[in-house]
Amino acid sequence: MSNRLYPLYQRGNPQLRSFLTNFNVFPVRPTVKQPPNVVTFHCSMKMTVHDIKNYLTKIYKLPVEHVRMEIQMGETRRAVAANYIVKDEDVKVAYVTLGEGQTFQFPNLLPADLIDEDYNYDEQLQRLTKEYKASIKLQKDRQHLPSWFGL
Amino acid sequence: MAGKNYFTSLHLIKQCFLRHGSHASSMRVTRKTPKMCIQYICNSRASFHSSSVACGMEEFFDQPENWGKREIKVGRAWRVGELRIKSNEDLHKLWYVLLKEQNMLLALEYACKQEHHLFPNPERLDKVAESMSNIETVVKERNKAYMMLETGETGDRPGGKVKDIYGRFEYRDFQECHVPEELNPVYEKYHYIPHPELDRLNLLYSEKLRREETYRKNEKRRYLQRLFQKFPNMDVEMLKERYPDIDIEEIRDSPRSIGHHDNNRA
Repeated sequence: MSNRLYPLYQRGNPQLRSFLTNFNVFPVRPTVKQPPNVVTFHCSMKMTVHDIKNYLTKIYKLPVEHVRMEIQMGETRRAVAANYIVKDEDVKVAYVTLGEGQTFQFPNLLPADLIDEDYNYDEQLQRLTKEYKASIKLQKDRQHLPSWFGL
Repeated sequence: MAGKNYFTSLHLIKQCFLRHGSHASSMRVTRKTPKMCIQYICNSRASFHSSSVACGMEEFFDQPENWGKREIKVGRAWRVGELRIKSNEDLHKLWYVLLKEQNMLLALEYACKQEHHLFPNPERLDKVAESMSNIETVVKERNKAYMMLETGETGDRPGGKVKDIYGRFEYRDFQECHVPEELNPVYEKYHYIPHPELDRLNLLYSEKLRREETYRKNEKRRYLQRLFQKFPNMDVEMLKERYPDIDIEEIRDSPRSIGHHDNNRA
């Protein structure tokens, strides 16, 4: 299912199906040590255990054995140099046990030997600003025209 | 699927063959296979996908050669005009390609945040979101056209002005319910019960709203009169289009829009 509005389900009706789901699920590195066949996911707040199982088996073709879920409360902290407090958003966490013989180890997405320490961020920022301004300039006089016009 | 070999290319190739149900399930994967695999991918319909073909947990992460890069170059987002000429099936596939891309980016963004690194090219997330919203507009257009043909209605969620608990009118989207409202004890508890004091208050409130509305309308009239003072030969048809609820000719002929004595037409 997804965050959209669905017709009311009544017993005996055909099952409700979601064609374009807008739920997001992504793996995170576990904070505490887990068994090798357990993967930790952050998922959309409205998802249920059945949703997670369907999502992973249907979209990602992952064999799912068991799903456990919890809602982790966001951190509450004092705002920097201001007299009020800020609370981070809560996250729904799913601990998914993979099927038999499946193991997963969270990969090192930012390997230290590959990271270029001398990278110039200002250059990238300037390039992006320039591109954005150019795109706005192009569409300034032709906002209601289709994108293929002027090819 | 175990240990260090998890992300090796050989494994990906085997998965690719197995997934496409080819005769190659019993085939031995050797060091010579990559070329064949690339050919296979290019020839199959899977070449349409922008994310990797391999199934399983690999799809949650970028290709290993992009790990640790500071800059990852990508193209632009899908435009509505381009999506309109695609079939429903293609749009459905593209949606899931984009969803997987979004999940991959979210995973990378979170990992970067945990490691105190800068997320490379964050505009990728915006591009994916824009493409997805464009797909949605196209699907909604088609849905609306179909519903108009079949039923004569747009198929949008119905709504209307309803009284809230204090008797004020507000716009609300209608909701399907298992029990009719009249028979629902919870609804009985929270709906508006007529009360003389509240009725009087609502009468005054609606009067206030009406006065505000009239003021706003008159403000427009005064603006148009001032315009006619300066530009007496304005295009009336254009103004009629822009202000459909105002009688433009009446305003043009009114004494207030004549302005200076030099403009006297009499």
